[in-house]
Amino acid sequence: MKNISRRFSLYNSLTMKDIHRLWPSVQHHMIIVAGICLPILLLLGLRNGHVAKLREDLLESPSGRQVVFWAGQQGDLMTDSTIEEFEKVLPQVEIIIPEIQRLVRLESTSSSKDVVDNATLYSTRPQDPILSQSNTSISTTGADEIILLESLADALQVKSGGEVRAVIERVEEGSTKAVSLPLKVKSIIPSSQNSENNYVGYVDSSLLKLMEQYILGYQVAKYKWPAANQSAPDTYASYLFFCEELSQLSQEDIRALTERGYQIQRVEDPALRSLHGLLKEESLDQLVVYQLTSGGAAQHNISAAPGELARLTEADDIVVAWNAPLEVEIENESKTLVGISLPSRNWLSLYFKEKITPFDFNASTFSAKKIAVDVVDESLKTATLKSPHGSEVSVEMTTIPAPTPETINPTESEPSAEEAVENTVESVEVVVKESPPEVSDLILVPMDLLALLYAEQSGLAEYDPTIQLFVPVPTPVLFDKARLYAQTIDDVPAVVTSLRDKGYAIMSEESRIREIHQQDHSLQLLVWIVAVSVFVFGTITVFSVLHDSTERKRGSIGILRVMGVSQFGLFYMVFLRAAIIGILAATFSIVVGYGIATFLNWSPSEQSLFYGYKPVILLSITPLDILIIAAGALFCCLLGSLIPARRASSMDPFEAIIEGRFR
Amino acid sequence: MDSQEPHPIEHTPVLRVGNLEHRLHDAVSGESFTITLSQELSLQAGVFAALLGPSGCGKTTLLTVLGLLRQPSAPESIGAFEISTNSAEEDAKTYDVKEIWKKKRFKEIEALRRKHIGFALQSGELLNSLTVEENISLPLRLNGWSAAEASKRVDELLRYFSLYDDNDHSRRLATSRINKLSGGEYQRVVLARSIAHKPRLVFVDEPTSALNRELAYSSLATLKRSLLEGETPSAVIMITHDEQLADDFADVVIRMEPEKGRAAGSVTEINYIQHSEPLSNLKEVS
Repeated sequence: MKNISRRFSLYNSLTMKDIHRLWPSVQHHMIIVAGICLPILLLLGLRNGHVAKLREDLLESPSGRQVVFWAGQQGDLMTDSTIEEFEKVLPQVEIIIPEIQRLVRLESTSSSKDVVDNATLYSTRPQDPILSQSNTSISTTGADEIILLESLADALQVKSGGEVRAVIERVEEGSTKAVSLPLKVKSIIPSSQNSENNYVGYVDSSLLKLMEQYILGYQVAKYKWPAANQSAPDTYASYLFFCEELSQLSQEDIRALTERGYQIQRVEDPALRSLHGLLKEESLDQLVVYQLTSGGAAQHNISAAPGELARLTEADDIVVAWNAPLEVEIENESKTLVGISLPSRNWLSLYFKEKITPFDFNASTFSAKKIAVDVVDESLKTATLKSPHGSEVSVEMTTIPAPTPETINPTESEPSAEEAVENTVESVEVVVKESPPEVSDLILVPMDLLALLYAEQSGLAEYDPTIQLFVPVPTPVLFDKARLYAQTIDDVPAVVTSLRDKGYAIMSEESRIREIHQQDHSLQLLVWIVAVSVFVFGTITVFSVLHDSTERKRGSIGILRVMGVSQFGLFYMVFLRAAIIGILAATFSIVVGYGIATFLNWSPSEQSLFYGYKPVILLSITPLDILIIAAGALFCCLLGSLIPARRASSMDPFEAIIEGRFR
Repeated sequence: MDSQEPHPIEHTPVLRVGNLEHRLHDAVSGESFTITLSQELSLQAGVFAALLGPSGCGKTTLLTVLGLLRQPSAPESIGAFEISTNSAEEDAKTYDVKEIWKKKRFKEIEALRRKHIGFALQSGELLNSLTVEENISLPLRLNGWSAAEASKRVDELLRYFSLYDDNDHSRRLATSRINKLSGGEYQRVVLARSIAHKPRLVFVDEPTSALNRELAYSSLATLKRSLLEGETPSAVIMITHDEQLADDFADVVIRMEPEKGRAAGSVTEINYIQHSEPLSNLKEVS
C-alpha cells in the first residue's frame, strides 16, 4: 500500500514536472484548446446578455404587446363589466384600457390667463404600459390626477405637482352649463412636437366616464354635478279599471287589452277595490274593478298613460295607475303612501269618501295630503319625506280630515265559490274578498311620486337634491374601442384570435410578431446548427490536439513502460496531463472571456474621449457557462487523450520507444 | 506466482534460457523475421555477456525478448526461460518466465521488469523533462524507495560514474536537465539509471556507440566494477559490434548469425570464458 501511494505520488510529480519543464508544448496545446473554448464562452455570454436583453425588450415592448380592438360591425359595444370579463377570460392579458377621449377646456388654477380650450383627454389606467415607458402612471383608479404632455403643460404654465382645472360643458335646454374638476398634475412627459394638435393629457378612464355621464345629462354624485332638469320616468306595477255595474268591460275590451300583451283580472280584494279604504263602502257593490298587469311577478314596468288605456275599451271606465302603498318616514313618523292621480273631471270622484279628493294629473309631483283623525291643518307646509332608499325629499303637504267611519253591513255575506266562478271573465281570477282597511294616517300622494319612490327603490332612479328631482340612474358608459396589452408579444396572436372570434376589428403587430416568431425559429435553428458544429469541430480539434500531444509523448511512455510502469499508471499520467491542460485552457478562456465581457459591457461616460466610439455589447457570463466550458474542456481533453494513451500503453515498450524516436 | 525454493547464488543462474524461438511479424508488409536460440544460455550473477553479430541478425530482438520487453511469439514452445532473484533478498525466488508469458500474467512481467531488470538502450532514452538525478532515481522511486534512500543511492551512482565532483558543491551536473549533457555524460547517466535499483539482469544495447573508445571503456569499466563490487552482483548482457570490447570485458560471448536463404537469425555460439580474476582484464584496461 505504501509502495502504491509512493508510486502515485511519483506519477503526480512526473506529470507536474512534465507540464512545468516542457511548458512551451503544453502552452501550445492549451492555447489551441482555449481558442476553441473562448468563442463558445463568448457566444454563451452573448446569448445570456445581448440576445436575451433584445428578446426581453422585444417581448415586453408596449407597442409590440398592444392590441387595439373596436366593435366594428360585429363586436359588441363594451362597458366596464365587459372589460373585467375580458381580463378574466382572455389568456395572458396584462391590462385593457378603454379608448375614451374627451375634448375639454383646461385652465391653470394659479392663473386665469393660462387656458387651453381644446385639450384632448385620453383615458389611461394605473400601470398603463405606454405611460410606464415614461416612468409614470396614474396612482390609483379614479384618482383626480392628470399626466400632461410637455406642450400642454407649457401652454398651461404648470409643472409636475401643480394643479389644473378641467371644465366640462353640456347643452341643456338651449343653454350651456359647465362643471369643473381640479386635477393634480402627476407628471409631464415629453411630447414630440409643440403644436396645438398635441394638447394632450391622460386621466383615469373612470374620470372620463363620469365626464361622459355629466354630458349625457346624468347626475355625478361623486363631484356633486347635477343631472339635467329631467325627471326619471314613472312606471307602474298595474292599472286599475273601475267600471260601474252596468258598464263592465266586454269580451272585446278584454281581448283588446290582452292582445297588447297585458293580463287582466277582476279584482275582488276589498282593500284594492276600495283603494285602501279611500272609496265609499257602497262602491264595493256598485263598482266592478279590473287589474291590468304585465304578467308574471309584480314589476313596476308599465308606463302607459291611463287615458290611453281607457281609450282601448268601449266601457265607461276610469283607469287608475296603481302601485301598492309604500311605507316611508315623513317627519320621522312611519306613514303609508297611497299614490292616486285622476283626471280633473271623472265620475269616480263621486265614490271617494267625504273630504277625500285625489290629486289630478296637473298636481305637483312633490305634494301630499295627510289624512288625519285628530289634528287637521289645511295650510300648506313643507315636510321631509325619507324614501326607503334614504333620500330626503321635500314635499308640500296639507292635512285633510279623516272621513267619518262607516259601518260595514254585517248581513252582507261573502260570495260563494260558485258566484266567484261566475264572476270570472276568461283568465280573470277571483280574489278572496276582505274588509277595506281604515284610511286614517294614510298619506295621499300623486301617482308619479309613488312611482318614482319605487323606481328609486329598484335602482332605476335616484334623487338629485341639487335640482330636487328624481332623475334616471346613469346607464354604464358604452365605448366601442379599447387598447389591450398582452403579457408578452408571444401572447399577442392568441389574444388577437380570441378577440377576432368575438367579432372585434383588430389593429396589432400580430403579423409582424408572427414573422418575428418565424425568424426567431429560423435563427434559433441556425444558432443550434452553428453551436453544434462549433462544439463537434471544437471537440474534434481538442481531440486532435491532445492526440498529437500524447503521441509525441510516446517515447517517454515507452521508457516508462520499459521501467515497469503499469498500463494504469501510464493512463493515469496521460489523463492527469490532459486534465491539467483542459483546466488551464478553461481557466485561460474564462479569464480572457471575463476581460472581453467587461470591456464590451463598459459604457464610457459622456465626458470620455471614447464616448460614441466604443460599442457597448451586453455579455453576461453565468456560473453555468463557466461550468459548461470547464466541463467541456476537461471532457474533450480526456477524450482526446484516451485513444493515444491506450495505444501507447498497449504497444510493446520497445516499439513505443522506437516509434517515439521519430516523432 | 510460479516460484521455487530460494537457492544459493553460486548454484542458480540469474538467467537460464534455452530452445527459444521468436517470430517477428509485420502485419503491414506481411514480412516476418525469426530468431532462434537453440542452445541453453545460463548466466550466473556477476557475469558480463557480450552479444555479437552483424547488423540485422536479430540481436536487439533477442535482447528485447530476454529483457521481457516483448512477448515471445510461442511461449509454450520455449525450452526454458527462468530468471532468479537475489538469494540475499527475502523474496528471493526463481521465476518461470515461460509460464508467466503462457498465462499472460502481464502484471508479473511489469513487476519483474520494474524490480529485477535494468536497461541501457542504444540512444539512452532519458526523460527530457527530468534532471539527471531525477532520471537516475526514477527506477528507485518506482520501486518504492523513499526520497532520502533514493537520494543517497543517486549520489553514490553519480560519484561512481564521475558525474559528481566533490569540489563542485553546486551539484551542477546532477541538477541539470539532460539536454545540457555531453554525449559521454548522457551515456553514463543511462548506465547509472540502468543499475540504480540493483537489478539482477542488466541489458545494454550498444551503449558506447556514440562514445570514443576511451570514454566507452571508462563507462563500461565503471559499470562492471559496480556490478561486481556491489552486495548484489548482477548479470549483464551487452550488444556490441566491437570484438575488442567483447574480448576485454566479456565473460560470455554469444554470437548470432543471419541464416542464409531465410529471414532469420540464430545464436550460433555461446562461449563461456574463465577468468582467474573477474576484474583482471578490467584492471588492464583501466
